[in-house]
Amino acid sequence: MDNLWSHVTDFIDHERLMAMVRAALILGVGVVLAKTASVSIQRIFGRHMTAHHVMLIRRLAFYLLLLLFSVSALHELGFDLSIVLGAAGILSVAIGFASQTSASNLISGLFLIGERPFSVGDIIKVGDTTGEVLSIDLLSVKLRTYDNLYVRLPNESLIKSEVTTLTKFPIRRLDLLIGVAYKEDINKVRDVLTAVASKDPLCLEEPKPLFIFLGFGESSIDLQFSLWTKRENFIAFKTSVQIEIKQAFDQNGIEIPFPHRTLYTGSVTDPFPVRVVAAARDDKH
Amino acid sequence: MVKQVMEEKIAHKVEPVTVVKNNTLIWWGEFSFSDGQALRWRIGPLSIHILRLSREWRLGYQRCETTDDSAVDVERARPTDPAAVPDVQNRFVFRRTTDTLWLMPTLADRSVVARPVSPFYVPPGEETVLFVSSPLWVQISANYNRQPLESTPIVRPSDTWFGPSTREGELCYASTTHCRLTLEELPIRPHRAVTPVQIINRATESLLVERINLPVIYLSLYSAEPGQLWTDMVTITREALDENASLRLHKRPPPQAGEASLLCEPQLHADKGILSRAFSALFS
Repeated sequence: MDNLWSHVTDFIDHERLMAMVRAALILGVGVVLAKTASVSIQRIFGRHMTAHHVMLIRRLAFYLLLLLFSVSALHELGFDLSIVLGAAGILSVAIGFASQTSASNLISGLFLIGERPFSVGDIIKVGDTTGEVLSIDLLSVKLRTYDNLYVRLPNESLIKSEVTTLTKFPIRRLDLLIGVAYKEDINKVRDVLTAVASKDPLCLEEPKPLFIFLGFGESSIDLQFSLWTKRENFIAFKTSVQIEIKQAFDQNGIEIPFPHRTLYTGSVTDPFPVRVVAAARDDKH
Repeated sequence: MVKQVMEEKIAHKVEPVTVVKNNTLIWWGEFSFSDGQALRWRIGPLSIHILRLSREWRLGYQRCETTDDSAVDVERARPTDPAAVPDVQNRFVFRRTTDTLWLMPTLADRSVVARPVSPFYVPPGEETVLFVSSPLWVQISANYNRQPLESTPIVRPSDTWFGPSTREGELCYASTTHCRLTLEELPIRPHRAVTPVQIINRATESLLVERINLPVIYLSLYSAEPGQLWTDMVTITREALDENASLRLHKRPPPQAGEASLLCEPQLHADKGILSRAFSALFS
């Protein structure tokens, strides 16, 4: 029993164990300090800076402090830092090759945060995906789409591709492409469309609606009618104004033509010759 | 079935209402309701149906499409069928409803952009007074000092943008107004408020007035006989040298209104009563 006790005390007195305890303490203090610093940064800068800038500074401070304390803990355990750093250098080359995509995303993330094409809460459109920005992280941007799906977009793809921020400016223009029949009086069509625009309260009076004669289409005269509305009303306005245009066209007898083909026989006056094949076959019987 | 019985029960309780003033154009004020009573207001194109039940208020609205709002008929607190269901109906529930309800006119919650029928010039050194009318909202409160239950526009004005570009500017309401120059031409319209706008041009160039941005959120609302609503007078001075214009709010009923009483405080208080704005922020 005495023998066992002496073994235990020998072990406790051992320099190595004490070093381990000290290292653990340093690491523990480091974690607490890093967390406190992170919370303090949120409090100090939260009011003056944008959400993602604060988030970036918080993370930077947290990991920097943690790294310093970890290095110090390793030193306490007796690791020679120059060897550790040397090994880390070789390792970083290997990791660099292996994590090329992550590194690219990381750098792209930093550029995105610096450039600020959008911020948390904006609605953006990337390729076919449209959604609200939930967070801008170092590796990716997270979106919530309108059908309530969570989409993760790698930062690298955002830097490379075209990103449209739908909520940058307070008003938006709705471009309607309208085709009317060739027989219609274009001035009347213009008046009807203008009347619809001025009647709809969601349609902005200024900037004025834009009427463009696009050209002579295959089946219709192609027109563009562009209207301005408040950003938040865009979808509701898109629906309401098109219903109103259809109703106004119906009331005024303006035709929206279907695509059609005219078969022309070579002369304006001659009728198109029609031969009833079935009747001829009946005669033979 | 239960609902039908309840509605029949309510229908028998219709009683006449106490009228605050005899003026037929005044539609605002305090109104008393007995339990189960329904009353109807008509202010121009808007019909308001209000039904009081023991534990809830039902506020209903109906709008008729009208393009001509120059002639306005006002019908106040007429008993109506409690079972009638308007196009829009909102319910507000209470522990127990009180017997009074307030209907008050308020000004728009954004600036109003007035466009004269045809633009005009104010030559250097000249001044003029325009009468600009702006749309009103009906604010319904169960208690005078409390948060209103609801606010609805009498005529929903069209939105408009006022600013140098589509990136910079302010979202406003567009007011279809004639910007009349004489008081005699001004029709009495109890569903719109009139603001006398004095324009003084101290610059060396003529001032072209096409659109005026009127910050109605800083204005008080006054009622005057015979049912016309007025706001504070506003003086816009174009300064001689710089590109600024000063906007002075007089903070009292305009002299043109005659005897007037305060109905509604401004939604925002301007600190000095004088707002200095870029010239382009007031005229375009």
